[in-house]
Amino acid sequence: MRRDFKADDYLHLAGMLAGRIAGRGRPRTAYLRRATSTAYYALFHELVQHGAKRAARTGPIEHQQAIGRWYAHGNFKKAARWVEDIAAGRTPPNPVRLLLVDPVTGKVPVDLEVLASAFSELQEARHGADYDPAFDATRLSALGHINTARSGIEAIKRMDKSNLHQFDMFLLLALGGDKMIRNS
Amino acid sequence: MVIMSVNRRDEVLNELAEAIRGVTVPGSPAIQNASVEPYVDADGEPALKAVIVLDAPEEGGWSAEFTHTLRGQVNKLAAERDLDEHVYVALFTEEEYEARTGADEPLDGFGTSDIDQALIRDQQQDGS
Repeated sequence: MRRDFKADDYLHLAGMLAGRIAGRGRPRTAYLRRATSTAYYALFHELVQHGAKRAARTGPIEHQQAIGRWYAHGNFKKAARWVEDIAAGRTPPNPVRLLLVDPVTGKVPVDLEVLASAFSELQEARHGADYDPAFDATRLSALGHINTARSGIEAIKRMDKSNLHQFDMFLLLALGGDKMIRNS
Repeated sequence: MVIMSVNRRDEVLNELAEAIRGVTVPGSPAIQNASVEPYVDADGEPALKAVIVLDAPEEGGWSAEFTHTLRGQVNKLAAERDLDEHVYVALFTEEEYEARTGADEPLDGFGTSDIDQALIRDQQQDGS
C-alpha cells in the first residue's frame, strides 16, 4: 500500500491545530508551532513530488521516489532566495538569472515568485517553530502560514499544468543549490 | 556588496523602517508601526527582520496575497537602500505585540480542548 504525502491532508491537520474551525481564541503554543511546521511540510512535499514527477517523466514510480530523496530543504531555500532577489531588484549569479527570468517579460514568472516567497517564509518559520524557544507563535500567524502554504501549492499546480519552463529550471537549481552554480 | 559604517547602517535600517510604515496594500490591514533589526536566519546567514504591527485582519489569519505583497515590497525597499540581506517579515496585531512577553496560556475560554475535540471528531469520521 502506498502512503503518499497529501498536501491537502497536511493543510487540514494544520488548520485543525491552529483552531481554524474552533473560533476565536489562542490555542496552546505547541499546537501553533506544529501548525506552522505542518503547513511548511505540505508545501515542501508538494514541491518534491512535482519535481520528482517532472524529472522522472514516464518512468516508474520508483524513479520518482528515488529522485524525491535528492531534494534538500536548504537547496530549495537557496533557489527560492534567488527568485526573491531577482524580484526585489538584487543581482543573483548570471546563470541563475538566465534560467529563471522569462526572456519576453524580463521578469520572474508570477507563480514562481509566489512559490519562492511562500517557501522562503515558511521554511524560516518552520525552523523557528521547531527549534527556537523565542519563536512568536500566534494564531493569526499560524493561520497565515497555512494560507501561504496553500497559495504556494496552488502556484505549483498551475506551473505544472502549464509546463512553465522556469519552473523546471527552478527545480533543477533546487537539486544542487549553490554547488551547481559554482561549476557554471 | 555595499559596505557601510555602523552609524550609517543604523540610519539605513531606520530609513527602511520608516519606508515600511508608509507601505499600503489596498484592501489589507493598515500598518501601525514597523522596526527593522539584524537577524541571523535558520542557515546562519546574516539577514534582517522587519517587525510590523498592523490592524487585525479578518478571521482566518493574514491572507497569502497580503503577506506575499508585503514581503516583496519590503525587500524591494531594502534593495533600493543597498541592503543585500534578505528581510524576513514578522506580523503582529497590537494585542499580539504587547503579549509577546506574556505567559504561555490560552487567553480565552476557547483553547486547546476545543481543538482536541475537533481532532477526535475528525478521526471518528475517517474511521466510520
